[in-house]
Amino acid sequence: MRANLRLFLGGVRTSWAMYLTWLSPATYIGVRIPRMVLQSLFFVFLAKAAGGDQLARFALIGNAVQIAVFFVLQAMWEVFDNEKWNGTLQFLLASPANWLPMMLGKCMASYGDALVSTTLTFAVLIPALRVQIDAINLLRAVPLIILTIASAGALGWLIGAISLSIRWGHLICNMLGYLMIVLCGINFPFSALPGAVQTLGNLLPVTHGLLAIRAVIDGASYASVLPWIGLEALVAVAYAAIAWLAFGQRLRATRQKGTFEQV
Amino acid sequence: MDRMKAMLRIFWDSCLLQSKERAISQYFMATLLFQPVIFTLISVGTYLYGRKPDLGLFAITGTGLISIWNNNLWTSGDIIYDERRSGTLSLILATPTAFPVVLLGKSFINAITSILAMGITFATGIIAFRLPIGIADPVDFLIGLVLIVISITCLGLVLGSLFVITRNAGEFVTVANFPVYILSGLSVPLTLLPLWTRPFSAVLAPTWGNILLNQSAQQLGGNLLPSYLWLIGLSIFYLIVAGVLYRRVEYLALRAGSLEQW
Repeated sequence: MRANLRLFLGGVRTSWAMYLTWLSPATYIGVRIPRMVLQSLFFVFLAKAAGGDQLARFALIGNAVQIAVFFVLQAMWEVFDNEKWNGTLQFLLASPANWLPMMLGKCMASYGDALVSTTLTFAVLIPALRVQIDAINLLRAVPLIILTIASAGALGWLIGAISLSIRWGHLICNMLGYLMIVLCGINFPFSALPGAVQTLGNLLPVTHGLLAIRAVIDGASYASVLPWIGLEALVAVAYAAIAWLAFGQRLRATRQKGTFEQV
Repeated sequence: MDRMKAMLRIFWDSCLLQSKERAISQYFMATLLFQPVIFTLISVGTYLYGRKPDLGLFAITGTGLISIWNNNLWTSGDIIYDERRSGTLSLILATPTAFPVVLLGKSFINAITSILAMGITFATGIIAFRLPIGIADPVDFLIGLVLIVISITCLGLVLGSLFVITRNAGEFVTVANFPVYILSGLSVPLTLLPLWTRPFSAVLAPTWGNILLNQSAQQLGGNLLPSYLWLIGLSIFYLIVAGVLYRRVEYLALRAGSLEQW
């Protein structure tokens, strides 16, 4: 237990160090913040043109969460992919240590960044667009936002695990991030989608979490959104489990064949 | 005459090389083929949910232009980035051939292929939403499309010149996309924006391209001539700016004797 905790904390330190290298304050302020705000603003404007202030509010909540999902999908895929490109995958293979706590630790900075992204998007766009959202209810929704981000992160892990050899991870994450705007009810309600598309959306992370987030922001109690929370958690666990199995299997196969160059 | 022929040969060779590179680029192909589909689903889906099916065609042309812009802007950044990574940027700058000719050839082929994205957005609108797509004046629409592509290519040259002296072209492109969509009114009506943003919209070619395409589809009324003139005028303006910028960038690079510091 103590060894696992040490591995986890080591992963957290590594992820923080990598983040500081990649995202300097200038890059964060000059690139990251404008990107997250302007992407959300575009989709909110689209919703406003289509359905007025009511749909704009709907889209604002959806896109503020989606921007975090977008970042976390990419970041989680990178957690796997970086091992390959940094040349550390062979150490991961050779080490007797459990890889799971360390990899979990390596995700922590990305989860934090995703949460900050959502917070900043809400902080900029709510006053800028004069959208009525109760601050207390928004704060009550924070645990649900964290759950939804974690759930999307599990999907990112799965993409990372299966795309190690095909090298299409970045592309898949990028396209899926945008496709989720349609499939998960980000810009317009999930219930407006055709039945077959809803089935697909039900299998994705974010869909149920976002339904719960919207309800709580509108004043609903946690008890009333418990089924959605349960479904989101279930989807998250399912994706995480498949990702764990897929990556574990890849490590085992690579160790047996001694062919980590092909990963 | 010989000089002209040589420049045309370099232009053509750049087009050919770029088309080969792009044909095997996963990212370019995905941006060209999948992104228009996804953006059409989002924008038309939102308008249909808001019970504004009459804006479906507006959303489709806007999405098509978004894809054309994306392909051009991304690739302008990419061309310089790839040359830098391949170690050929300094060599191209050092040759007697003007770098803008190479860049123009490469940007032009990207622009031509990006027209395919417009077709994909229309196909998505017809197949996914069964929208009745009727272009009232197809000839004007096609002329408009060609003018837009030329204009956006010229704008790509301006950005391409700047990208020579920065390694952050990729980051710039990421940030520049969405403000251009908003300011140009691509899928989003310009009337939603405050009045002080109008001058910024006016100097962007996609704004006039969007107006022109919607006028030829008779989504918007009015005379087409001002939009044509704006697009032609802006193309010339971009070319002049690109020329001035390039000379400045070339001077800086030659004075430093290296591109390594950028």
